[in-house]
Amino acid sequence: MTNNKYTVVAVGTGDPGKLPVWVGYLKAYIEKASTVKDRVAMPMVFPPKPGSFDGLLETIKAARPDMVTFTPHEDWNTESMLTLCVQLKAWNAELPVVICGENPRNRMQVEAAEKSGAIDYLVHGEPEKPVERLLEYYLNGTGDLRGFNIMPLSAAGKVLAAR
Amino acid sequence: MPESLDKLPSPYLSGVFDLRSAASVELVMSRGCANKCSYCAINESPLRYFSYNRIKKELEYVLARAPRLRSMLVTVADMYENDALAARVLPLLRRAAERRRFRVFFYVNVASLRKDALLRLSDSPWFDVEVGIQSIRPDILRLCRRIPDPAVIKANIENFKALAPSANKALGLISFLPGDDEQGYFDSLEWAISTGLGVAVNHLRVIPGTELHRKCAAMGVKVSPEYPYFVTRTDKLGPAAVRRLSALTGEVFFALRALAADPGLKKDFFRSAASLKTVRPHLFLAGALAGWWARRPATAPVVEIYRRNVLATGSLDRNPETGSFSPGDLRALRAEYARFKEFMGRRTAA
Repeated sequence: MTNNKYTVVAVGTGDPGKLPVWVGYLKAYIEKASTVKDRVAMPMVFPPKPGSFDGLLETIKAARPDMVTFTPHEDWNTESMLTLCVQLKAWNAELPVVICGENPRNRMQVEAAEKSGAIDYLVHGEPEKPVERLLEYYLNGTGDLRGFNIMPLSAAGKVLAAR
Repeated sequence: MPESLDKLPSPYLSGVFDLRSAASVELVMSRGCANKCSYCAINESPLRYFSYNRIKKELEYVLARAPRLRSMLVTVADMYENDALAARVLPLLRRAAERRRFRVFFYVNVASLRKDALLRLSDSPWFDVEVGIQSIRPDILRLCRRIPDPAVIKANIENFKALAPSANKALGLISFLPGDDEQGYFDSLEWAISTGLGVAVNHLRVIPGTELHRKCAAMGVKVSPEYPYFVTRTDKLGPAAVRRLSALTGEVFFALRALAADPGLKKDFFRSAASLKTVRPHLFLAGALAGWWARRPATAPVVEIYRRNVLATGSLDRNPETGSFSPGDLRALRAEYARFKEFMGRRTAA
């Protein structure tokens, strides 16, 4: 945690040439209106090269994340996103990695996300409430993930969801 | 999600973004959708809107802080669905766009193109409006849960053209819908091109969790295992046909983009197509023209760059009007167009 706040690094990807407004909505909600607003900071980081997540690992590490969120997008290379997730897990196996669609059409298949072995949670649909619920889980150690379209994929995620 | 969208803090008003160098921004007007199109995931959430006051505040915030603004995407499933809100938002956007000279892009549903007052409010050359058509075959439209009436679609488009003549209008189609075959797809594309409006073709993606996702295997539809899950075969088209039609569509779109960049060429193209006796004259002529440009040494490099861009994005530009060519490219395309016409003239005479 940085400054005593739980740090969720949000990778800011969206339509090429545009600001990642949907990730911005998630950040604004979590930091300003969620049940965990005073306990969470959500810095956004931006890939150096549009279309690819290459070169982002050190930037994320420097932000000292307690959790990282990504969003797939048709104009961004998903393979490089999954590679980065694997690199993050190699750096810190305990780091929760969450994939949530920036909007409903950008979403990964459960099988593809699970196959990577580096993703703890997959969120389909509007992400604000599910991510808030996940953060309550991590901060309070209690809660209920059911009914929020959150799919725990990793062993750690499944243990937490079953708690 | 919160019942009222205004309860969601605005990323703009919260100061999330530094807008000083932003040339393009997205203004979200609604979430969810009231329609039930089988391929779409947006309709999983109920349709909800931000209030007029919230939209106005965001717009004012952006305008005050984004001096380089050139385009704005207004995210809404159908701009004309909410009559009262659209009647207030459209003039607001129009005044801002015309004063600050930036383009405003939004989507509309073809079923809403009878709302004459809203269409008139959209009559601005700074507005880019894409109409979701998807197909003009009734059986395909029925399968997708869209209006299965091509006559209504065509009449509504004519109404739109009449009431918002200066807006930049584009028709959106989806290729490789279940049940659609080569003839059906070509018929949809031919009609869309013949309107003289912009045309966009989206290769069908199967989004996890949608009705199409649940039913696609039973329908004989196969999907790429790679994100974003493009359809690779359908009940009517094998993998080779999907590849061939994708490539052909790409070539036709190159021709449309080049024609859109030169009003003189475009006018001549439509006049020439009208005089042809073939079944789908616009499609035939655009395909032949693209093939000519691709083979000629002066224009082949321009075509090649376009092909690479299409491959990189996996989808076709939503609007040919946005295609850009250098003055040198345009000179070469014009010169080869003239040679193409001579060639076609000789062939017809022979």
